[in-house]
Amino acid sequence: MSYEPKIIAFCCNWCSYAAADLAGISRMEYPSNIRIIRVMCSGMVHPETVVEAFNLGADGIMVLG
Amino acid sequence: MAVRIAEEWLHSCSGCEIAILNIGEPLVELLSVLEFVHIPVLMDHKYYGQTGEGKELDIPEADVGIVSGGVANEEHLEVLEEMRKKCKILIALGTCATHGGLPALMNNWDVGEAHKQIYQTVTTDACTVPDQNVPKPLDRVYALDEKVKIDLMIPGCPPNSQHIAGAILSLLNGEEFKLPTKSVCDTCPTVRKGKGDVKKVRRFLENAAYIAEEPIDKMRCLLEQGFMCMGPVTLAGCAKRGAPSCIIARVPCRGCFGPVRKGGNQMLDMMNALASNGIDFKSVIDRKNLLRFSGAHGLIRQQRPTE
Amino acid sequence: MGKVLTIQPVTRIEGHASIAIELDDNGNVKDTKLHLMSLRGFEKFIEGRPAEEVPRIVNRICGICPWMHHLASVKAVDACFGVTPTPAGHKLRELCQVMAHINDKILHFFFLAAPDFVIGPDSDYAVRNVIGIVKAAPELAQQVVKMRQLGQMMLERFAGKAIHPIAGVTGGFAKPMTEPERVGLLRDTETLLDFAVYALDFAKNNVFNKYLDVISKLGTITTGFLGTVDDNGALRIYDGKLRLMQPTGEYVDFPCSEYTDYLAEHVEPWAYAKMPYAKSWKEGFSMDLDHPKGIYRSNTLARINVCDHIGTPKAQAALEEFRAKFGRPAQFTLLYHWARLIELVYACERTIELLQDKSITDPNIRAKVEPKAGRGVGCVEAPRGSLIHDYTTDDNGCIVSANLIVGTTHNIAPMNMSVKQAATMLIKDGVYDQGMLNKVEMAVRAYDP
Repeated sequence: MSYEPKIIAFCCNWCSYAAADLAGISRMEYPSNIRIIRVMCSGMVHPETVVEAFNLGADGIMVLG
Repeated sequence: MAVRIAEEWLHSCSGCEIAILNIGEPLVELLSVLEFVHIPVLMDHKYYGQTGEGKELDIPEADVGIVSGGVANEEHLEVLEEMRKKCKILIALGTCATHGGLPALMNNWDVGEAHKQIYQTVTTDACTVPDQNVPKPLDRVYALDEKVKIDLMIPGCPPNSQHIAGAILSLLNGEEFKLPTKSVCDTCPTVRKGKGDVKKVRRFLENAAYIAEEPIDKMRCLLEQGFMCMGPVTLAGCAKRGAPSCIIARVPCRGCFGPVRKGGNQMLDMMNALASNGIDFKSVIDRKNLLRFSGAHGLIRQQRPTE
Repeated sequence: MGKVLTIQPVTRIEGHASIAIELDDNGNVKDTKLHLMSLRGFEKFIEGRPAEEVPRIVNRICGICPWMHHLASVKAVDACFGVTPTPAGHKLRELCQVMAHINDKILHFFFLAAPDFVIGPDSDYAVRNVIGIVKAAPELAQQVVKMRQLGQMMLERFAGKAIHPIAGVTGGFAKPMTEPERVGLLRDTETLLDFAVYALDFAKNNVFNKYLDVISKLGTITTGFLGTVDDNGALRIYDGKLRLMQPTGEYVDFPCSEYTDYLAEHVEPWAYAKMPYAKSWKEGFSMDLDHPKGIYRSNTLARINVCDHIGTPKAQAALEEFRAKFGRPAQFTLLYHWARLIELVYACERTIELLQDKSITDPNIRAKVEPKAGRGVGCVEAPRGSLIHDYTTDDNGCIVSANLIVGTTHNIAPMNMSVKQAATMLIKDGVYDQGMLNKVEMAVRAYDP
């Protein structure tokens, strides 16, 4: 089966998002089915937000910070 | 002038229509101020004209539209969109219409694969899934508000006849109609003693402990007796005779009025409730079953292959 | 190229259907099809569910006869778990089932079918309905609404819910009946019996005798029949053995657990509903009007045809009168309505019988249940026909697979034939009108799908 999961990554502005940014600048490749959402702090990602992302079609969620 | 009403049923069982009839004698009085212009269960108005020569699906204009059932195929969608176009106020009646209802359990599977399997049971002759002049299924079962704007939701499986009559009367009088906002537990008179020593929830394989001659308000809360009961996470509204209707039969609630808050998730809320009371949530053997009435809105999702 | 007349939706029935009548170049009927439009897939989505929960899920197959699915399912789960319900549990289940039949028959005859007869089959659609009856015959309507409501509220009062019940549980029943409840229900059922007898008389005088000409022609086909009887051949609706009768009147009896030896389901690409047929006749499946193969009917007329007698006096008298007039098996399709009212009388009398037996208040209502692996078949007579639920469970008592034969589906093939018969008889040389098309629908409505 050609199943491509959709993965949402909530990334903290101050660490993981900066790291992802650096990965981009360094032209490192990662699969396109990971979608990054920048948040000001991973602590602000409410559990309801995670649940809503699942309801709207996400297959996996990462909260990075 | 009489208020014109149109009624339709989509992915439904006709229980909501029976609930309308169960308004009983007041319904006969209501009929003098209501004019039904379209209601397939009782009346012969046809989509394509009375001799079937019309080209486009047509439902007469109405002041109030009532729709039961969810949306699961192309015909449902066409009818729902026509109802929205022709009705000033559109009411979603019953839990299938408001939250997907039981048929939304199907959202756990790929529709095409599931249908194939249904046409391969022991007694079914070899065949392909019917596809000629029958409406094509959508990818999943939807609640009505995922497809069109809905003005009023009256959940329940079946909905409470008094809510239906109340909603119609309020509309007639130009008043706002209010549904209960609390949980089933708030309308349940059983005895609660606070956090008990229940560590696991039990399946309903034996009857609850109670004395038959005693009224419901002498029976211990079923959750405190250790049975899975979804009262805490279910919208109130079923209590017509002094107690929630399943509790009257001494049977635990399964959540047929949907979540208490709009957009709530009965499975997560129930798991939270169990965990915060020190009950082992792993003792629930079929977690998805807790979403059996509210699986639309993406809450029940297709199982993905695990590798 | 001829044209196609579409009757959509078929109205005053319980489900979703449309009729397509194909005319040839001369305007005569070439073919007809009854399209069944809906498929919800209960057989699939009860997979994995704990079996004891399933009776509370499958009742949603039908909001008009939820008790039938509820109880067929409870029986199938009992059989999977190898448990026998206690005597009182058994009686309470049967009681609820026959009470549910009372409402169903009042609903179908007066709310859905009667407008064709009381207002007239050719009258305008805007008045040809129960609301029209309220205006044309307010006293009758008031009485009908009152009686149906009484029946529904009796169930709701006793069992918590009338629609989508919960009180039937594997091993028996969830709540016992108290003595005051028994007395109250008995009193109310006596009122219902009076009404049932009145309804049968009313229909004989104002409907059946008046429309005998239509009844003998419209939608008439020749088929076999399927119903449930006890060991003495008496009509049963809660339990017993299935009886499959050939058009000639010969029959075989078999326990419902052996249904796969006798019945199979045919599928046409233009209808979601499966079409059961009599596999055991070994003639295959054909809806040809002159040479049907494997076709039998279920629902009221079938039960009245297959039973040798009825165990309650008033219904037995009505059966004798019916049989003297139409023979056995009676084939006229519109006689379904007459048979329905005979069963209404039976359901009231049987409810009274059950309630007069004080042992129904025995508090021992539920046997001990252990979930386990097994296979179980449960069958009851739903208003629309023999309803079969067949489950297989795993070691944990959860459903592995399910097969359902729903009452209505037995009649899908016969309905197709009746539609064709009616349309061919009525529509000739391109002449058709609303009244004719409504009469085609009347042929469907008789089956109460």
